[in-house]
Amino acid sequence: MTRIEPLLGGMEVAGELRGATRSGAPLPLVAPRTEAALVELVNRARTDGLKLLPVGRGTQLRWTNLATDADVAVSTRELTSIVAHEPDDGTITALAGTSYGELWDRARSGGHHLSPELPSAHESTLGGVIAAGRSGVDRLRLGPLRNQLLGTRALLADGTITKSGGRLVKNVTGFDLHRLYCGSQGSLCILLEASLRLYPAPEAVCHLVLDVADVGAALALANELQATRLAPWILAIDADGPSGPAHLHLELAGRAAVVAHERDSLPAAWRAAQISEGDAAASAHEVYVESGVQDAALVRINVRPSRRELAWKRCAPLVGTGSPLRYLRLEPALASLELILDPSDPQRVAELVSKLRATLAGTGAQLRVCGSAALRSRVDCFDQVGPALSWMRQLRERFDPHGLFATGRGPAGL
Amino acid sequence: MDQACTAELRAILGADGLVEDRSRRTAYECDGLAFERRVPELVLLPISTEQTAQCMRVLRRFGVPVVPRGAGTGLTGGATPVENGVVIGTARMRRVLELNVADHFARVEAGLVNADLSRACEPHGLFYAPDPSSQRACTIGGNVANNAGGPHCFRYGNTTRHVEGLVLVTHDGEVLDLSEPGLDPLGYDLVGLLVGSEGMFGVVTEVTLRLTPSPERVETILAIFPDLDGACDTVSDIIAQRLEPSALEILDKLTIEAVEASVFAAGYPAGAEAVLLIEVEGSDVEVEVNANDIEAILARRGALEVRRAETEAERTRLWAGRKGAYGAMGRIAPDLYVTDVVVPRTKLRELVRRTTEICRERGLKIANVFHAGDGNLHPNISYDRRNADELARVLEAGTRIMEVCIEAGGTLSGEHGIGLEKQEQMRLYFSAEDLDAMELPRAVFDPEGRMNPGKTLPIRACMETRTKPLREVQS
Repeated sequence: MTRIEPLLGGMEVAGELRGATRSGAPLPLVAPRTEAALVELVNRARTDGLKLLPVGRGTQLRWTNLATDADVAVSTRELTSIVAHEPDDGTITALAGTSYGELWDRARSGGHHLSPELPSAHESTLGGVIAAGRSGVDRLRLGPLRNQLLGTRALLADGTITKSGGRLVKNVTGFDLHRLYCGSQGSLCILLEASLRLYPAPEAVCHLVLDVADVGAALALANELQATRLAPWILAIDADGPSGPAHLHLELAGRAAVVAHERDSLPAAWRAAQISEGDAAASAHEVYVESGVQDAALVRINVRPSRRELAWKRCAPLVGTGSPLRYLRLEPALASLELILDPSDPQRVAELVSKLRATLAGTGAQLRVCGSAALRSRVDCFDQVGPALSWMRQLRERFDPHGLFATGRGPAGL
Repeated sequence: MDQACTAELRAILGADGLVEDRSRRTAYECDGLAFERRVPELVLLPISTEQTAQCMRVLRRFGVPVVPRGAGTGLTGGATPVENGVVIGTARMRRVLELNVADHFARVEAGLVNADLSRACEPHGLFYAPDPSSQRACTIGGNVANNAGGPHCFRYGNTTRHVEGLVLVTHDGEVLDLSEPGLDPLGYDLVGLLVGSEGMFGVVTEVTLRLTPSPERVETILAIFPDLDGACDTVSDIIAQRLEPSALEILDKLTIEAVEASVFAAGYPAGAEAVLLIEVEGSDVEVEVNANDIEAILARRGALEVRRAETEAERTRLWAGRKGAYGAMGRIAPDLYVTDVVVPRTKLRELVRRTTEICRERGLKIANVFHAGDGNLHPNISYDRRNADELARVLEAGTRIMEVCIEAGGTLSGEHGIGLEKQEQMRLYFSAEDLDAMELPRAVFDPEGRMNPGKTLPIRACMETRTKPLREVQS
């Protein structure tokens, strides 16, 4: 603590951040109340040779590796304000510490949907979501987070505040540095502000759940649906395991007449589905969105759609009875499989991750791990990067030549 | 050009792949920004990534600046040759390497013409969404360099949203293969950074592109307005009502007259002050409810006539008029200065009026044809480049248009890029610190400053010396 006191310059330590570093020691956490104070902090830290670990409210830390070196966690959570909401232009801009849930509510009040739609949105900050590169449950319809990001203001390691992109839905002026920052895990800059595009909120939502014998049967029905021109917001399979009963979730959303027509045109098997509409659909939707990771460990596997069956066949034997699997969620159209695991024995989860990586070798699958510090101390949350890594390292060195920002949270030590 | 360098390049490319003859090199002296010209020292036309990489290694050893070029349809001078530099063209790399129908992507060579990709996908019920007006000539590599758009980017977004991977030959001849499509980038989003980098980070030789399922039904609506204001206000209303057509395009009177007098005649009514071309797509029900709502707005906003294209042929003709508008304007004057700015969609009427005033104040003829749904204005100024005074007024008007758009919360470019044309105006939109930050990735990918030097980033003290700013050249 003595070493960081001069760094703080009278600023109060707001608390401790646990579970963020390899050493396991909690980090003192500071949350400057103004951008000027944050700039001052960055400049002092650079002078003093201290390493900063940028965070929002720390909710995305579970998706990243443990930092190898950090002295102080610096949070943007006090920098909160919706800077501009232009409903008739379909854009919203806010400071990085703004609650993502607040932003979501504001967009909704203007008749818009903010993408990505994430669980525990009120506990996350805008900056944290972008730095983590998190996409949401609406990805099938609206695409990944990086497509929604219009621009940023960011504080670089040299203490300068810089803009990239802007607040307009179309803009190719200058290099897209904001694309580089998105998903960079706070290793290139501290995000101060971001602008996102908005989409028309659906007029009507219809949430259907169909109980089927097992994942295989659910996949067959999903395939049948994908062969039509239907463009659902959600198409996902939930199951307790590879061999037990499964639930197929289908959400239709959009213009009311379109949703009604789509619902009535579904293949015959869907007549047995539980159908929620109106407020009930909103509740069902919320339950679906919030049934995320919370305290569990999670492994996400993404693969090309054409290799989905192959990847599933290889993974299934490893997550059957006796494995730490609590349940799984498979999004067939995105070819994304999430394994939600019992976190109580991190070593067991780590061994499963290792086996999954081995069995998926050669399929082109990407595997990502989320979980407690105990788990993340045993596994790499990311796959190996390949030949692009040297270019990423050079970028990192250019953006942060003095190593101000903590290393190791991203893939391969980035 | 060093003779030894030329000999090495000749050995790699053969006679067909190296353009040495001056008269043939002249064809590469400019892109669509016709008043900025320079004949390149050599033109290299490699047939593969590997050949490109071999050439880049030679060029590095001899310290030769490189300008990558697609079809040369760019409008901002991004492909204008530079002093003592060569052009690397992708004209002989135009194959579709992989068409993956199951996974909805295509891997193509950078020289593939944009429209040829959609043609290749069509039998499989897929298409490539970005559709610049020049799509029958422009290349995918050029689209990637400029993050190109087009009318349907209102719904589908610019090129960057459709690029899933690429292969980049770097300044020193390394082949950086980022072509494998993945749901998310692993590590930094290098592909996102490289799209729109205007050839300043290397030569893109292959691109992996997301393909989109063709809609079940497409409806094209033509609305005739008694004035341009009414058309602009209608677009603002459609967006404010959260409706989602796939394209919203406005053509003004001068454009309509030019189109109707040309081979692109689309049946736009003579005497109309403005037409709004709207496309709605999706399922039958979706098209019908959206088209009905839009038609109600059109009626409320005083459209004189609204009609839907009744046949595919009619639809094609309406779009041929829109996409042929720039060509048609050749009838008005020998040269056309196509401005590309974006404004908030709530300020369309105000900014269209202001841009028109700016041109009229300078005695210039302006025609408007633009992507209204995105707020992407294209005030097109007709001129004769042989008239130095007129050219000076055109450039002055262009600068003023950019200034007023930025003052109103807009930006310099929505789809054409910066190139030579707007590099000085980058200072209006970005601070010195913003521009310094853009130099950081550039220093990584082009540490010697040989990749398309003098473009995009404004010339600042001791940082860039190869190319003078456009407006300085003209004065």
